[in-house]
Amino acid sequence: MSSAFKLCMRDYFAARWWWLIVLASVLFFGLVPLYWGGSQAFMINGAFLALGALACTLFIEDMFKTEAYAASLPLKRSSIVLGRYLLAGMLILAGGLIIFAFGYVLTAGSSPGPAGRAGIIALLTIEGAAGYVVVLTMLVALFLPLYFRYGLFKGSLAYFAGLIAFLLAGAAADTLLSSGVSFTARLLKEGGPGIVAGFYRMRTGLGWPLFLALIVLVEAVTFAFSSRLSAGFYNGRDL
Amino acid sequence: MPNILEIRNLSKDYGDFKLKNVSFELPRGTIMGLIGPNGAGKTTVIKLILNLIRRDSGTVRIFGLDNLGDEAAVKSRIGFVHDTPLFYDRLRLKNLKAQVAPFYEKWDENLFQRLLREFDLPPGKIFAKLSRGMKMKFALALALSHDADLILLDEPTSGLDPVFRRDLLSRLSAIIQDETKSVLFSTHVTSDLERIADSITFIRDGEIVFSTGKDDLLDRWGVIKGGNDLLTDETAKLFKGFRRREFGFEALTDDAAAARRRFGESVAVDKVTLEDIMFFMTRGDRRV
Repeated sequence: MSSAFKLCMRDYFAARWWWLIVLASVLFFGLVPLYWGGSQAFMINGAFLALGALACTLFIEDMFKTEAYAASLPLKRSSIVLGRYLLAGMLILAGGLIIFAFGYVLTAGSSPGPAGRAGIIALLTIEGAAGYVVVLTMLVALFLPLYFRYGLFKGSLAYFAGLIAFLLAGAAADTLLSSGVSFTARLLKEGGPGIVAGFYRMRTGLGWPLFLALIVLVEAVTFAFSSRLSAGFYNGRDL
Repeated sequence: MPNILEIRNLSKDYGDFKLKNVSFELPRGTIMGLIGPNGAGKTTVIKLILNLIRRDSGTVRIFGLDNLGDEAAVKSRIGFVHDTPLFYDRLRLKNLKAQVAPFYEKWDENLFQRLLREFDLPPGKIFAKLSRGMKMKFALALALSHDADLILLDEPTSGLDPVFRRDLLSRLSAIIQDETKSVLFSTHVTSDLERIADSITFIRDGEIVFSTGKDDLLDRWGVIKGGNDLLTDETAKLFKGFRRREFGFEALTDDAAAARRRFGESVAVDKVTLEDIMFFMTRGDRRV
């Protein structure tokens, strides 16, 4: 684990200014949800903070071809994989703290306030935080094995092709079931509040201790499974 | 003398290039030059030693340990310089050092700072603003600052001025003086190897042509110069490679003494250089 921390520090030195640029843009565009888009824009903007910072880190490593240097250091390939997952986890947590704190600042004051205020407040709950962590974990856990298998460019292509296929499959299922509302439109319209509502039902059904334990378990299992898959892929890759 | 590095039947198939059953040993306390034309497989061998690419078969044992099974332990005792400096271009040297140093238990900060001063590298300078030679010097400073027992250098002197090249060579010679450390040095600048190498491994088309002591090689081999009438199908078989010119031929032999006996005074037998060997065995009219 200490090697993984050292790798995170290495990433910090390499990408810290890029992370700041991502943070600045997220805070700037974070004002938009107050007046337009409400919860959806806030949610997407929030997700961008962690995912954008991670993407920058991977991008500059790819740009400067430093992966081979890192792999020449006294590390196993599995430690390098672990370092990336640790970084992703820390970015998700730090990004969550920042975006929730920012949300509270944005929505502070008396109601009714700007048009998007109520939608943002609806996300700033424990269930919203759980939804943020779980959804981002899933997105990262799906991406990293592709990254370690195919590299940044091909891995990203495969990942986004998969996401688009998922959305298309959802839209097709909607059409077949004649629900009248497209899956994509519903996801964009109800994604954030829908997730929060789902986690709220889960929390009221299970109670706090079980609910939190379940979140931790899902996180641990997802990262463990994904990181094992990534390590297997990375062990077989030529750098 | 125990070997610090033992490579046995190492193979790697890239599809358009194959490294075939490469085997050689690097004894402790010696410098080995790895030579060969572009695309011969020198960098592939070094990458396989560092486990940057996956071998198809064979074994690599370093300090008696397997380079896959004991990867971290093995690499902690290796100092390396890649043919292209692989660093984050926009970082200052002190930050690049901060990225690397924590991974080595034996990191010697005083030595690193001394090397920076000796190499005239300001710690606050941004890496991208260094010349290629300066970048190589920085990579060398990192490689030499953690008391490595095996130094792997892939084309380290390309882009370096002659003064620094000589300085580097004398440093490498000094490193092996205590006879516990070794250097594997891939280069095109064969004159560097003639100065410092104890042994030479020649690789061509993914295969080892020879791996032998440098002094023995340069003593035994020779370049024959004579009239074209002496170069027949039969005599050509005696040479490792030859070049026919308008006024005579030049040929490489691995037994200069035998060539002298065979041709007598009708040919001139010159001392061979590593560059001659490289040339005749890769670009001559016939190579063996």
